[in-house]
Order: sequence, then structure tokens, then C-alpha cells
Amino acid sequence: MTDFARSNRRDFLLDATRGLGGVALGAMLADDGITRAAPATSVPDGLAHIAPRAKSVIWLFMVGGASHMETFDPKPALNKYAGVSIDKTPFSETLKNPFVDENVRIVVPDDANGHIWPKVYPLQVGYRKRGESGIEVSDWWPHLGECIDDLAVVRSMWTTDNNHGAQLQFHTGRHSLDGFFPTVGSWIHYGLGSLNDNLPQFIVMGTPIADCCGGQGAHGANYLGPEHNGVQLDVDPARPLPFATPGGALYREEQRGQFELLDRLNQLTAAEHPDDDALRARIKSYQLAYRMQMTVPEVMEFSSETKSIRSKYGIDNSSTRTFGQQCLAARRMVERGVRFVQIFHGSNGGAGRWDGHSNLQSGHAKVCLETDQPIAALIGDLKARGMLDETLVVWGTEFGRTPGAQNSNGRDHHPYGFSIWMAGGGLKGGIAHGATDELGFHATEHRHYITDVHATVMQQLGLDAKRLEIPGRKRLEIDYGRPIDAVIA
Amino acid sequence: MAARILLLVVIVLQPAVAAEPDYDREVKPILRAHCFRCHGVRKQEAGLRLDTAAAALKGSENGHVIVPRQPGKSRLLHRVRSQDKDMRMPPEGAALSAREIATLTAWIGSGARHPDDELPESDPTDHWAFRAPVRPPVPQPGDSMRVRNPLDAFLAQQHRQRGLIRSDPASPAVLLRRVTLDLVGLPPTPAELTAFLNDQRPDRWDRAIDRLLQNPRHGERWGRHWMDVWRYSDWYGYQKQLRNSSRHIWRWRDWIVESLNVDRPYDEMVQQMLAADELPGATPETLRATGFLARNYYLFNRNVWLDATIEHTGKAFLGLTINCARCHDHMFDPVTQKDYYQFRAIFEPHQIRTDPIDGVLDAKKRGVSLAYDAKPDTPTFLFERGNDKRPDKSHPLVASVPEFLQLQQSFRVTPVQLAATTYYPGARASVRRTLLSEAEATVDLRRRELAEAEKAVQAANTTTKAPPAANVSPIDGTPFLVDDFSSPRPRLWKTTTGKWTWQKSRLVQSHVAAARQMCSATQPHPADFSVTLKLRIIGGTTYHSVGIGFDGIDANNLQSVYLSAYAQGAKIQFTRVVDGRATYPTDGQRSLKIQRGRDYELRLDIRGQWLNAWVDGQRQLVFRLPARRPGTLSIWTYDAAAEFDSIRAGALNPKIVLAQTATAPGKTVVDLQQARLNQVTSEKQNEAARAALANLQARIAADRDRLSSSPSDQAPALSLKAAQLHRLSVLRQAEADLAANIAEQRRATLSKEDKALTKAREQRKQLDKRLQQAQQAVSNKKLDPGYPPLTKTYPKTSTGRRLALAKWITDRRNPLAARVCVNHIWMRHFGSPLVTSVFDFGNNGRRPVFPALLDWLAVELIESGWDMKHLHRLMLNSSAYRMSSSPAPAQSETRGRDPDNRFLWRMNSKRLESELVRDGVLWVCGGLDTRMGGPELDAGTGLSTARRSIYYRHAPEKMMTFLDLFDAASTHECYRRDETVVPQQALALVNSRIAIEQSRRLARRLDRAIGLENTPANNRRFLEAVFLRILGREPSGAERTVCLEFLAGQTRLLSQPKKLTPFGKGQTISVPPADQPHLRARENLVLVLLNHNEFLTIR
Repeated sequence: MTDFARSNRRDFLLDATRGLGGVALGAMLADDGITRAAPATSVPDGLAHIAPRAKSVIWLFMVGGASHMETFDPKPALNKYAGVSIDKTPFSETLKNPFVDENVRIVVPDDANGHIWPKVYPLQVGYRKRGESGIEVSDWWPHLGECIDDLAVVRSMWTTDNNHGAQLQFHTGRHSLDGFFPTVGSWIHYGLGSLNDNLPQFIVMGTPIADCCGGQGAHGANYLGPEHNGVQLDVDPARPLPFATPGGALYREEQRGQFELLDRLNQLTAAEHPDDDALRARIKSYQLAYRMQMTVPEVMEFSSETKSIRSKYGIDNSSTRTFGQQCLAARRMVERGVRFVQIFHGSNGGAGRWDGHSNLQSGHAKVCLETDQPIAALIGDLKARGMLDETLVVWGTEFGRTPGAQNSNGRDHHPYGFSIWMAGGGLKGGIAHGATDELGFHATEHRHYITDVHATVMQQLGLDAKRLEIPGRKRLEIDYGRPIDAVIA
Repeated sequence: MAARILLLVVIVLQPAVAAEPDYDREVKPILRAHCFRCHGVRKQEAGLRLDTAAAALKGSENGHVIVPRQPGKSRLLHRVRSQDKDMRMPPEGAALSAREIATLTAWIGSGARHPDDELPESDPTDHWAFRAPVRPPVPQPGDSMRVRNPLDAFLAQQHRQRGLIRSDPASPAVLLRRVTLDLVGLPPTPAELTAFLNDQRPDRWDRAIDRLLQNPRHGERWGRHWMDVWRYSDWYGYQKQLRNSSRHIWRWRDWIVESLNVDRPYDEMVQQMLAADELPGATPETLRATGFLARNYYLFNRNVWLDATIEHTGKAFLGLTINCARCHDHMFDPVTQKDYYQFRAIFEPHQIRTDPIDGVLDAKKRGVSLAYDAKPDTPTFLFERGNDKRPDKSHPLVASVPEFLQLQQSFRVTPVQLAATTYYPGARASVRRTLLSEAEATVDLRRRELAEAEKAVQAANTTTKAPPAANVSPIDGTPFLVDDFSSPRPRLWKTTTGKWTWQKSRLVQSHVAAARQMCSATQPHPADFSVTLKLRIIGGTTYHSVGIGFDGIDANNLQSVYLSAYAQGAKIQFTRVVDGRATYPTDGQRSLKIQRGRDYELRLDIRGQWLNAWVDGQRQLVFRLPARRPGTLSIWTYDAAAEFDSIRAGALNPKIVLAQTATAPGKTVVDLQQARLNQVTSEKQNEAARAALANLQARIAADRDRLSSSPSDQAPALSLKAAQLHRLSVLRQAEADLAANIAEQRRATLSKEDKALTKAREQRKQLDKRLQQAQQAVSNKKLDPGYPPLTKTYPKTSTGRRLALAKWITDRRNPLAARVCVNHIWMRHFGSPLVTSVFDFGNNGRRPVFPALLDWLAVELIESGWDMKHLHRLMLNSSAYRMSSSPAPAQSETRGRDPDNRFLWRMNSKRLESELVRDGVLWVCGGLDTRMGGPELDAGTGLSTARRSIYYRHAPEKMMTFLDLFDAASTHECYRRDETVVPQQALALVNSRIAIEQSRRLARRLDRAIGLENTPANNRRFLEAVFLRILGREPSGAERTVCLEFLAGQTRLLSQPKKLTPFGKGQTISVPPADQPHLRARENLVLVLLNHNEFLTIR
């Protein structure tokens, strides 16, 4: 950790203490409702660099590599040339494109995966035009298709890791061989002030990605310091975060007494050590902890939601329940001022369930089914509440899948071209930006490296990534990315 | 503040390019960023230097590159603008931006004006950390009271120069807590504290330090520090697959702990970690040290693995970021890209292997992972731009350290002839011992098996040879039950279920149902009896079972033997029904061709436990009854219609000899032929085991002689004997395997295990071939003296490169090693390092705060024989270490001058590291399990078990959450811990079961000692005891008041539990709260103190 980051964190804590110093603890503890505290002074200076368009981000990540051709980037040529070797199609140049070698760094040489698969594999699902925009969406997204006029689809993404370390890369912008770096969520946490002191500002739901592919690093802060790590929450109100509740026959009033005594004792000590920043930060952290303990379980308590809302999110259906609960919780968090909610879907302790090397059709149909209705409900719900304008929803995945067949019925990893989409937060809806070639092989029009998504999100939140420089930590141009102006309203 | 200013520089937005840009502010930074590397102090490509404007104007060996006022004629601009890849400057990295080019153009266009007094860049090799430390003179400041040792003198000099007033000593209680936590990682016990405070001798401090340095906990505390620096991680991967680090790496952790406890010199530790295998006298104990290298193992990518090794060897021992030179020359230090790959060549030959250890030969189960040179000839190439797809094969590189550091100290590699015990685990006494004892155990086992097999043959013999049906009547005297079924005899029989009719001297049961249809005798039978039933099965759907029951009470309690004409498997079967539950023992059955419509005579002879069943005069079943009881005979059918012609039962004739089996009830009866085959197998295995033992002994004898420093004349003969015995052993084993195969084939045939049979048949061919080869080998007249080694053998020589590196690092002329080590130790005692950039002492690192002190300590370390305990004593004995950490009012000016305490005018307070938080909770509450060492423990048990935290798994995603929250070391790299304060830590310490359970335990212990009654005196004493134990001091007056109020308040609160809201569901907590409200309030108080800021702080 550099001195810079240390001193800033200390300043932050000092400021935070100062901001609330005059409030009596008893009063603060009694206030167990959901209050929007005045924004605390933030890191590094709490002010947006540019006029913000959005307040919060809901970041949905499909673990394993969703096929762009079977989701948001239809390629009829695949049906036309099904079974034909790519070099025998009119698009044989595709394989000679220098991108094939230049952009890729393979972590696991000689793996069964990560090769060029020449035999064209036809589309495994139908497409239809949806919405007023008439953008084509695959038939695995019947609900989300209804929202297409709110979505900005980007069909020209590329990345460089042909192994699942690309999951980490999607969040840090760096190839896994370069090591661990702060993730997009932690940069935002670091760069922006809090909207609600009772809740963590960077929350992670779903099973995080596995060790193989970056593990905790995909929601970590690395050199920004652990307080900018994503805080993992579970939708179970009884156990939403580590050590959220003592259980074991303890009484709330009993524990409140303990917090009060501790505060009094620590204040007595603070009088002896007026210079001790850490001590003041600790007093503050216990006050926050007490409030978090009360508010976090409340966020996961869905009983206050109407039955129809719960049903819209698919909570009454076993295949959509888990992701639906996470999406609903995400809305409740954003409503309460959480900055960045990151939800992983499909993590399975390995590469992830979107990793369709074989049985792509049944596999993708299932994972799409699990997420389609909840995501559509989330967008609809945000919109109905007037929150979509200031909430940016991102749907991403580490890479696409090969146009050629792997095994008899699958597609391999494909970093050369793939799709993501974003919605709300001051972006255009009903737009499909960028393109891959006829086979869906290379991103050709308006190519975007993954950090362009980071840059877009940060810009909408009012952050200029380049102003978040940490001396001593060299960042590359590619780390910052460039906002995708074409999708910004 | 400096950081804020830097930030502002970054924020400066783009104004239009000035007509005349300022050279220093605008032009030189562009040249520095893009050009200095090749046209500066270290390199002058084409004779061109651009680090001063004067030099730039001078031009290159090809003439001018800048012509003032004439941008069009300035080649520098042509080159940076060029679109031609070969022409464009810089040749690597990003091109200059349009704005940068515009700035240069404007500067040249306006006359290329520059200051006259510009100095060239300084030579990066001329850097303080690259010059060997020389012991500086110790300053002689006046303040002798405060100067206990030279450390204080160096500090005092700075303080005087800077006008800083240093702090007074901290109180003895604070000091003892500080030094105890620093040296052993646990707070002092009340007894230790009292003893220290009451000790009036002048050397009590020195003795406290000595006592703590002798405490084995010291190795654990400092072991963890060095594990941070040396990047300890337990193995991890995907499920059971090892992908990173190495199995058994915990042995390296134990080596670290033990080494620190025995005060192994630092240089020796470094040498063992890098090259224990190349050092004389290597043993599995010292080889553990190479865990430093084994930790970097990475399954998928050798380059990733070696990059990590290079990076962390450089950072940990040299404070040098060699890793920055992987793709290009180092930006700040004189480390070239070639240096990087030459450094890699040192490690290129090494690999990681796992040797057996501790008398267990399965190295996967229990072994030691270690480094060794596997492929000395693997070439090393420079990868262009660090890209492993582009090795520069035209220039293989020689192993070396960075050239600029060789000026004072050359790097010489000498290949090492390894001791046999190093390259050949089989030469180690422990491995020989284990192999011998295993071989002896096998001989023993085989001998016992043979005895069993022989018994089985005897038993099978007995079974088979039991006397045939003698010509004597099985019934002795008058039968107790005789019936020809000519008419119903209700005096003899009682039918309970089924449709029983008497027709023409036959008894017929015609109700076919899946239930037992019973006709039972009215009188009990004697214990030993014989019964003969003539029967015919005439109908049924599936099982067609008809039998005789005995020992019967009712339909739910009896034993029987029955015949079954089941088409899928006709048989004779014994069955026992207890309370309606029937069992069908496998050894109580035998396949038998039973058909519908045929006459059968079923006879049972029973004496005691033994049952013999005969069908048509042939003994078909021998069975040992598990239990007997008095009861009646019965006739029954199950899913069958049957006719019965007669029954005759009486006491068993003593002349009848019943067949018996040797096996216990429930064991499969082996037939004679199978038993014989098994016996043959066992005999062969017995011989094979003995041959293997003889062979092993001969090989060990031959090894011993051959591998000794002076092999005797006997050597060839011993080898020859070993070789012969080995061939014989192979033959015996082949014979045994073949015998086993033959036995298996019969067994599989009998038990109709088709798959097993096919497999055995397939193996047979190979076994025949193996046997033939073994026979040939034995009979071969050519005398081959070669015999296989006891274990895998590795190369006998090692390149010596790693040893050369280790010796070079720990050479007293090395400028970096001692300084880096001193800095790490200093940081952990004083809370801030002397050199802030702890892993970078190069040009981009920070200058030391007290350069002379650092050098003095570095020389002291070297001259003390790299004695780290000596260094601890020096630091802890200084007045500096004993200063108070809280500034006094008199120091307000000092605080203004140095608010960050850079010059150490007071002590720094420190937050407990994650391990100390957990260990401290356990320790003060009396629950810590102080056992040392051993395999890593599951981090998931960290809150329910009580070993020291250092022993739990430390690997990505497998870390203990509790420790993680308190900034546990990152497994990837941790040269310095973070000290964050976040709410999640508060939740962990308030809500975790470990905190709750331990606080209740401590409260109970104190309650018992002090008194359970809720009296003011007891509460006061409780308060004092718990403050002393947890915070190492008495409560202040205010604290006393607040706490006593709390106890009273909580007691009142808890007296009315019905008014309270329980948290409800949560974790399992194994210690329930006290029943009495005032005792529960005391427990609450303990938990509060465990969360007290002062518990978590080293003052």
C-alpha cells in the first residue's frame, strides 16, 4: 500500500468522524430506520469529476462465457454454411486476420480448449425482431426481449484471455497473467462518496467466480485497500453477511447495551489519545457496524414487497428463484443508496455454467431461462419506480463462443468478438452498437476492449478514471478504456 | 500532502500548446518519458544524449537532430512523427501523442531555449542502496540519559537537527505488553505482568526480552512475519488437483518457525531456502527450506512460475524490482532485460519434487516438497518484449545476477556433486528403515495369511469329507412325529394360514400367495433332531418355495430350510425369521436344480448350532445356526402349491456325524478346490514376500557399499548378489500373481461375476508373459550386476547456480541483503520502516529516513553473524523502542514539524495483525491450544478450534474469513500488512462464535475465582481481573464507574427476558449464556473488552 492511499484513507476516516462527531450515540443507535445520511466526504475528494448521469450500477455477470451468437448477435451465415469449414466459406479471410494471434494470451497452453474450430456450427436458437427498435434478440430471452427498447447492446467487444481468467480480466481490465488489480466496482467505491452510511457501498451477490479464474479478485480492490473490496451478501435475511448476527439466544437490547458501553469506553480512551486517528476510526466503525447489522437484513426481507412484484421477479418459480431474489435485492439496495451491486450468475466452482463446450443448446437454454425473467423484471421495476434513469444495469460475460463447433454440439471460448449490453443510467435504449463479421468471429465495427464498459459506467457516474491515478501504480492506457459515446444519450 | 499535489499535477487539463513551451516544465518531461532510456546516462544509442538540452543540440554521431527555429530540418521530429515502423522513435512502446509532438515542434520552432545550468541525469548505478554499507561512526549527542545504545544516538542526532522533542518512556505495563506482543504475538498474562512490575532489579527489561526470545511462541510470531515476506501459501488448485504452490509446504512453515527459535543466522536461512539441496549435509529437514521455491510452482505455465520466482527473490532478499525488466530494460534501475533473463537462467534448471519423509513412503500422503536441478541443460533465452512466443534463440544466456551489481562482487557458479542422500532418497537411513520394516511386515502378513489359507483348506476338507449318509437311521429311538397324511390329525397339526387339504394320503396346500402358508406341529421338538419330508412342488407364480420350519413359535419367529423352484435361480436356502423380519444368509444357500412336479426328499439333521440339509440323500447345505430356541416344527409354502407325502421326525442319532465348516457364522463357505487355489496363491505370495525382503536387504547392502566414500572390494560381488536376488524376487512375484489370477478366475466363475472374470482372463496373458520373462532373466547366464534403486533417483550433480546466488546475496559485500532484512525487522518493531518502499530499494524507491542508522544496523547484522535475535535485542534495548506512543502536550511543536512521526520522536502505535486478534482472544480467555507445527488446518474450523492462527490454511479463497477481515497477508504478495479499520471487523469481533464463546469461558473462570454472588465487591473484583487480563492494566476511575453502571443496567435488563427481543436464528454457539442475569452481564462485559480499542492496539 502506498503512503498516498494510506493518507487518503486516513483523511476519509477523519472526515467521516468529523461529520458525525456531534451526534449523540444514543440518538444514532435509536434511529434504526433507513435514513439517507448526508454524503460523507469521499475518496479522494468526494466530488464527481464531471456531471453525473447515474447514481448506481447493477452489474450482472454471466460466468463461463455466454455465446454472443445465441443471445444478442444473430449470424444467419452460420446456418447457411453449417458444417462447412470456415476456409471453404466466402469468409476464409477471417482466419488470417492478425487479431487471431496478436490479441490473445493463453494461460494454459496445450489445453483442449482455446483452438480455432473451423467447422461452422449453426445457430442453436431462433431470433426475432423485438420492440419498436426491431433489434433481434434470441428466443431464449422472451421477457428480456420485451425490454429491448431500453437496452444498448454492444456487439463488438473483445478481450485477450482465451482461458477463464478472462472473468477476472472483465472486472480489472488486465490479463490474469499480469496479476491482480482493482476492479471496476472498487474503483467506483474508491472514487465516489457514500449514499447511505448504513449499508456497504459495493455489494456482491451470487457465488463469486472460482479460484481458477480469479476468485475473490473479481470483486477485489487490490492496491486500493481492502475497505474497497466488494462485500459479499447473501439473500438470506438470517445470514446476509459474515458475522451479521450473533444468534445463539442473544437479545438485541443486550447487544445494544454492549455497543453503548464499548462506545463510552473507547471515547474515554480517545480523550487520552487525541491524536489517534485509528482509534477514532474504530469508534466510527463500530457505530457503522451496529447500523449495518440492523439495515442489511432488512434489505433482504422481501415480505414488504407485493406478491405481484415477487412473482414478476420469478421468486415463486424454482428455476428463477435464486437469481430473481438477487435482482430484487439489488433493486432494494440501489433504492437505499448502494453504489455498486455485482451479481454473479452461473458460478459452479469451476469455469461456470455458461461455458458451453458441449450441449450448448440445452445448457444455454437453461441458464437463459434462469436469468431472463428476473432481469426483465428488474428493468421493468426500476423503470416503473423512475429509478432506471439513475441506475445503470450492465450485463456482461468474459468472452463469446466460437462460430465453429467444438465436440459435436458445443462452442469453445472466443475472445475475438462478443456481446454485452447496458441499460438505463443515461444511456440510449433500443440501440445495437458495433458489429462482428458475418460469422461472428472478429469484432469489426467499433471495436471495444472490455475497459470501454468500465469507462462508460464511470463516466455516467461522473468519474474520470484518469483522475483516480495512484502514484507508484502504473496504469496502462488500456486500463482506462474509452467511454462508448455512441450509446450515451 | 505531497500525494495531493501529485494528484493535482495529473488533473491539469489540456490547454492549447504555448507558442514557446517551457523547457523544464513541458519539454523535458516528454523527452524523459520517451527518450532517456536509450539516449541518456545509461545508454547513448547512436552517440545521442537527450538528458540535457545542450547534449541534444550537440546531436548524434550522424549530426544534428535539432536545428533551432527550423523544425522541418530537425531529425528528432521526423523520427518521432514517422509512420514507418523501423524509423519511428521510440522503437518500443507508445508513440508520442500529437500534443507532445506539437510541444516539441513549438519549442524547436521558438529557438529551443533552455536553462544554462541544466545537469545531466545522475547515473542510476550510483545509488545509495547499490553501494555496500560501511559502518558509519556513531554520533555523540549530549543527551546521554536517553542514549542507551547507538540506535538512540543516530535518532538523537536527527532530532536535535530538526528540533524535535522525543517522548518520555512509556509506563512499564505498556512496555511489557508492547514487547510481549512484538516478540511472541500474545499479550502478557497477569502473572507475567505482576512479576515484571514487582521486579526491582535494574536488568528486568533485558531479562524480559531474553525470556521472550527463548519462548517457542517467538518463532511462531516472527515466522508469520517472514512468511508474509517470503510469500507463504499453502497449496491450492481446482478441487483435489494441485495447481499452485506444493503439497506439504507447511513443512517449510515449520522450518521457518524452528529456525527462528534456534536463532539460525539469516544468511544460512537464505542459503537453505534457495539452495538447501546444493549445500553439503542436506537432509530432509534442511530441504524443507526450499519451500521458498516450491511455493511458486504453477501447474499450467512454467513462465508464470519462473516469473514469480524471479520477482519475489528480487523483492524479498534484495529489495530490487528485477521483475520490471521482463519486457524491457528497467525504467529506473540499471537492470537490463538481458539481466532479467540471465537471472532467470539461475532458476531455469530447477524443478519441484516430493520426497518421502517420516517413515511414510507415499510422498503424496506425507512427504517433503523440495527444489532440485532436474534439467541442467535447459537453455534460457530472452523473450522479446517479454513474449514467450518470441524467444531470441540466437543468444542463449548464461546464468548471472544483474551486471551492475557485479562490480563489487562477482558471481561465480560451481557445479555441485550431490551427496547420495540428496539425489537418491533410497540412500537415506530413514527410507531404508521404512522399506525394511514394510518388507518385514509383508513377510509377517503373508505368513499369517498362509496359515489362514491352510486352515481354510482343512475346513473345506472337513466339509467335503464329512461322512456320507451312513447306513444308520438318522433317528434314534422312537420318532416323535410321524405322519403319512392319510387323514387329518389335528392332535399333531394346526394350520394357521393357507388352504390345507388331505387327499389320498397326501397333504396338499393349494393357496398360492406371497406369504408363508403354515402347517405347524402342536408339540415342540427336541434340540437335536432329524426330520425328513417328502414333497412335490406343483404350482406357484415365481418363487415356488416349500420348506420345513423349526425352532418355531409362530409365523413371525422361526428358522427354516426350504427348496425353491425359482426359474431365475433354483436353490436350497436357510432362512431365519425374527419378529417378522427374514434374513437369508449367503452362506446358507446353495444353487440346486429344483423343479416343479418332481418328488423330493428334504432331510434336516440338527445338533446344537449345526445344521446339515440333505436332498434326495445328498448333503447340500452345511450351516452354523446363529442362534437356537425351543419351538415346534412346521411345513410351509411361499408362493407355491405343494403336495406332501410323509414326514418323519425324531431325536438325532448320536452315530450321525454332522459336517461342519471352519468358518464363523456369516462367512462364505469355500469349496475345497477354491481353498486349495487360495492356499497355493498364499504360498507363492509368501515366497515372494521373503524374496522381496532378501532382495531389499541385498540391495541396501550393495547400496551402502557402492555409495560410501570408499567402496570396498566387495562392491561388485554385492551388486551382483543384489541383482540376482532382485531377478529372483521378480520371478517369485510373477509366480504369485499368476497363482492369484488362477484363483480369481475360479472364484469369479463360481460367483458368476462376469466382469471380474473377463478382467482376470485378460490379465492372464500379461502374467504369463511376465512370468516367462522373469524365468528367462533368472536363468540367463549373462551376469548383469545392475539392480534397480530403492526409490527414484535424481541427477547426481546440480548446476550450483542457486547456491552461487544464495552465497552472492549473503556475501558481506552485497549492498542490499542486510539492509532489506534490517528494514523488515525494524518495521515490525517500530511500526514504520526505515525505507518505506520495503521491497524496492532502487532508484524508484524511497530514501531511508535514517541512512546512517540503516547502514550501521546492516553492518551490525552481518558482523554479528547475521544473528537476528541480536538485532531484536539491540532494537528493543534502545530508548527509542521504549518511548510512549502518545504525544505529550510539550511536544505540540514537534508534532507540527513532523506530524507523521517520520523521524520517530515518539513510538508508533500499531493495530494487532489478524492472527494476533484471534490468538489474543483465545489466549486471554484461556482457550489457546499451544501445540506447534503440523499439516495446515482447515480454515473452516478456525472459529471452533483453538490452535494458533499461523497453522490454518493460508491460500486464496481458502482463508479464514475472520482473519481476512483483519487484513491477513495476501497470499500473492505481502511485504507489508495493511492496517484498516472497517465495520466488518467490528461485526466479526462482536458476533463471531469465537468471541462470544471465549468471553463466556473467561467470565465463568473469573466468576469461580471471585465469587458468584451479585455483590458490589465481587463486581469490582471481576472488573479489575478482566481489565488486567484483557488490557493488561487496571480500570481508571471513569472506566470503573461506567462498567459498574453497565453491569447493573444489563442485570436489570436481563432480569426481564420477556420484554427483550432475541436475535433468533444464527450460528451454533457451544457455550450457552449464564442463567443468572448478573453473571450474564459479566459475560457481556468481557466481550466488550475484547472489542476495546486498546485490546486491538499495541501502544
